[in-house]
Amino acid sequence: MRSGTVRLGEFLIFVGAFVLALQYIDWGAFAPMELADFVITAGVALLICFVLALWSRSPLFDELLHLIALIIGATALGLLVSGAGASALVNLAGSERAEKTVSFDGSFSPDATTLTVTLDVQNGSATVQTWENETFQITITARARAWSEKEAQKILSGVTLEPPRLSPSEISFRAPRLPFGFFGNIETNIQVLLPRGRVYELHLTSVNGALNAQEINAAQADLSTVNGRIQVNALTAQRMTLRTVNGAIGGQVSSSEATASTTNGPIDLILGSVTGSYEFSALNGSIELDVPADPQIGYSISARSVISRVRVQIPNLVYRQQERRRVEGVTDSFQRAATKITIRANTTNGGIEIH
Amino acid sequence: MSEKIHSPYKYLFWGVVFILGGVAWRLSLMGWFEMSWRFVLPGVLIIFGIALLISGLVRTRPARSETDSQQGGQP
Repeated sequence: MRSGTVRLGEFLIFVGAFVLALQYIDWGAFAPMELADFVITAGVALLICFVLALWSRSPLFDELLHLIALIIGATALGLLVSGAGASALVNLAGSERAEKTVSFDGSFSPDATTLTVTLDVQNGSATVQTWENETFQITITARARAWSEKEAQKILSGVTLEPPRLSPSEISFRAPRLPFGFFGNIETNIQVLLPRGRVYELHLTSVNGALNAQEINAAQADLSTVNGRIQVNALTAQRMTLRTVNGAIGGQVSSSEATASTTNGPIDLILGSVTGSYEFSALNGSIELDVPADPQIGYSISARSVISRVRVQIPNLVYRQQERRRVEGVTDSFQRAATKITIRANTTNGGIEIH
Repeated sequence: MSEKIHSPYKYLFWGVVFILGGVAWRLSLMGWFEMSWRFVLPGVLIIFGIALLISGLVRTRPARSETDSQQGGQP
């Protein structure tokens, strides 16, 4: 009977921890690599529980260890199930969302040569893209999550969305610095539509959130986040810096001088046919680059992976060094080529492919 | 000594499953192999099998060593 009661209690705790893990931990804010690390850490914690349980002679300590193991298991299960989209079903029993959106329109001075766009988001994504209109449009969405709609609305009512700072040649927005809730239950996303055919200076920053830039012609583009993906489509910039810690970097870029770095996540980019120097680095992640297959373009390649294979498939490449994990070389026409692309790629855990 | 309500070997089993599963997931993210659905089912079976094997081996080892020590203790 005692054992049965204990097991029933544990079962209820397990279900409660599981629903909490599914509802109140925003697993989407974590990079996939972090989630995998979490699963490994959970496994190590369970092994520690195993060793302690073997050593333990006290039923109370045994029970404590079992509770810890149950919570670890329930959290890991919540992580896996949230990835399968099942959290929406449990939403009926608990979590509610509320959001408010504000929108601003305006236009830049036609005389301004370079237009500056600065977006600083703490917990949320930023998207910048061009459209056919001569005006710009800024849409800011704040989203709160809570057990009930009333509670979500209450959280949201405490958030003041300050309008962006606008001038004839600049847009500047800084999301309100909210103290993180225990599980970070509020986010601010911003989308900016800009007139096509102008030259921009982009500075996009986030902590937890993705950054997107599409069809932008920039003198300078700095995109930096901590937990989130950086996606750039048809981004052309004289100087470009793409930096994330936990997240992938992908898209299509053309730049005279570009740097892309991530700690945990792959880099997958298509490079344009302009003279440029590119530097890519990843710690835990592969690097895959699609380069233009034009024989008129000269390439200088230096690619190194600490533990994985490097493959470079560029015609007429004269190798200075060709090893399994390190490739260096230049195409025979590099010196006289009108378009020269220099690539340096380094990763620790992950392969490199340039083709 | 009273018998434990919970078997510690369950922690070992799930610990090994999480570690192997997490490592496989991580390696696939790092580009070592592509995680397709064709690999998921056999992969899960292999991971569970290895975890069962390890927990089974660890479970049997103390019993045998205890018997050995008793036999060895008699002159």
